[in-house]
Amino acid sequence: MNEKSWNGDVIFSFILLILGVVLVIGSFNINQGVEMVNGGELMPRIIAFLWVCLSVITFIIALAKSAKESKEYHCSGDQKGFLLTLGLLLLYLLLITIFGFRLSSIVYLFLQILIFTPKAKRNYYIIILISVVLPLLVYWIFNSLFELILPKGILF
Amino acid sequence: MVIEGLTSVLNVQTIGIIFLGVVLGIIFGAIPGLTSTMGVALCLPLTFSMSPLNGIAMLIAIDVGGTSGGLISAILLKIPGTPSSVATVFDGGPMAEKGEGGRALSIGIVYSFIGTIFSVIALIFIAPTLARVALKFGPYEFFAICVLALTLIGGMAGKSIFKGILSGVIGLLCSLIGVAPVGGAIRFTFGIPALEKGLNILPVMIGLFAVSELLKMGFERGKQSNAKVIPYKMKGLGFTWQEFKDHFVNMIRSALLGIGIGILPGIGSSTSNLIAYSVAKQRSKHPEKYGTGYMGGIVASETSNNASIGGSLIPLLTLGIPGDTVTAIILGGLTLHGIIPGPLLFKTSGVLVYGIFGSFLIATVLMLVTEFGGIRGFVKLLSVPKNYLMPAIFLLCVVGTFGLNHQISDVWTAIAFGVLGYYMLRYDFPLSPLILGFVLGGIIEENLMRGLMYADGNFFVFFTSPVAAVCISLAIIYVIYLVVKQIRGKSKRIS
Repeated sequence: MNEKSWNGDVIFSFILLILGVVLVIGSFNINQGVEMVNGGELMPRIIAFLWVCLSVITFIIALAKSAKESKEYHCSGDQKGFLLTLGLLLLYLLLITIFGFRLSSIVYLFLQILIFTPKAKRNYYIIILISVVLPLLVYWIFNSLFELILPKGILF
Repeated sequence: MVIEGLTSVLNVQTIGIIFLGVVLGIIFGAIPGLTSTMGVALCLPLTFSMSPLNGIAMLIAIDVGGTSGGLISAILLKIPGTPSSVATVFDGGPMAEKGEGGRALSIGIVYSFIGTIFSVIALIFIAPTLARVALKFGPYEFFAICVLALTLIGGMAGKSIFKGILSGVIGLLCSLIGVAPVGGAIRFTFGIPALEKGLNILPVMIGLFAVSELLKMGFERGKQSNAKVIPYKMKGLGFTWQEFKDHFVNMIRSALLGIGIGILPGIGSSTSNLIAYSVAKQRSKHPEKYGTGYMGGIVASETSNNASIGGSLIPLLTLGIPGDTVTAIILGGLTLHGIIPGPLLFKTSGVLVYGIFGSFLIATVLMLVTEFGGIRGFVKLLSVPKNYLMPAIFLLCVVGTFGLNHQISDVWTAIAFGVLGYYMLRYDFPLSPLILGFVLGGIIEENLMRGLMYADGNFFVFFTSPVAAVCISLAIIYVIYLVVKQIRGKSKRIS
């Protein structure tokens, strides 16, 4: 379905490879705390080097595979659903620091359940009930029973 | 000390906590998509306020319940609740379809119990002896054992050895972030101050195992699973004395396999159930019956996966090296309570160790009772819609990760690892090497550094220790073996 022979596996291996190269460079810029023969930079260098070697191999294997099998890497799914979920998670975390745990959790739960539930099956009463009661319940349990202070917002 | 430790769990509070853990574990095990690993990771923050014994007892109880609870959905939905009960589906599913769902459940529950009892016994007898041997280990040995453990899991966990080992290397690198233990250099923080104290295991775990599932669900939304609960009826034990005797050898063999695989660092119940099943089939007089709803299949799978729990606790308590992902989190739990597992643990906190053994035993008994008594309730849970359940679980993830240090940056870490875990799963990178690499990274580096200091910077001195030499050589031979095997498999497919 994709005119390019680059599939997800190849791209992911390539990103890992780039990351590995960045890490190798990073490992040579580590400032040693105390002057020693082998200090805190030894392990990072070995590991980053191993990372690059292994990701080169996986990249080559993935490339060879994608050239052989012209079919797109088997993944049937909804890319939009994934991106929406990820976006919502990031938004949720930003909201927590502003509006506190309770309010932002209510918003998060409501939207997340909407993302997961197909339109035909949505029962708005239940969704609203769950997304309001659950955050308040969790907040109460952790605040009063486990003495875990969750972030409070500017409103409540 | 032994008696004092074993009896220290006999109080209402501890038993109550163990009961809670077992029930939570069964729930996490029974619902497909939730694993006992996720359960243990989510409940870890709850144990902060408990005493060390109660906290660890709860985590072990969740593991015991979760490993066994997977059989409920494996039999009634034909979907394994956790990776530990994959092989239970092979015979449990067909048996339930023949109208013997209750019998399959009973067999599974009883043999889960037997498997766990075997592993408790093994733990009590093997662990102290091994700890005495391990007391003589120095940095060379610890370094070599950890490297071997990581290689084993990297090679065994996934389809591709390179992806497996790369996953382990990613874990190792993540463990290096922050201030170096020797010399105090600041590494890989890329200018982000929150990274200076390093990454904590909890957000990493929750990200990899819970947040990634949530993202996966977003990707697979709209795909309704047609899984329906197969009707069942439970009556008595479900098998006769004669049948028990017929499967006695199978049971013992599966228990020993489970314990052995559990002891090997890095692999646990998710591997042992499959191995025990295939061995049972090979050795059986009626291999053709396997897969058609035969009791032997359930016996092999359920005995071995539960036997692995005790097995995986052995290297954790004696060497400080976790046997699988769950014990890796338990290691995190121990450290948070200021307990460093290792050979000295038996000397410094003997009472606690035997207390853990005692709570393990109680969890096993409670698991048997709860599953037989509450099976109806657990079966009902299978129909809870995932589109409500997963968002609620993420709420708990946020609470748990935030509660660790009261820092929102930990939750960011969890989401970052969730994205990483999601893509790794999608492209067949196994996650368990990453976790093990992350946990072992600190131990490996510390012992490598100390060893190099003893040896004046000459790595080859490591080979003067027989244990270290054997371990490192085994690791190298294993990698070569796997690479050759993979290349041969490839060329065969092409020709």
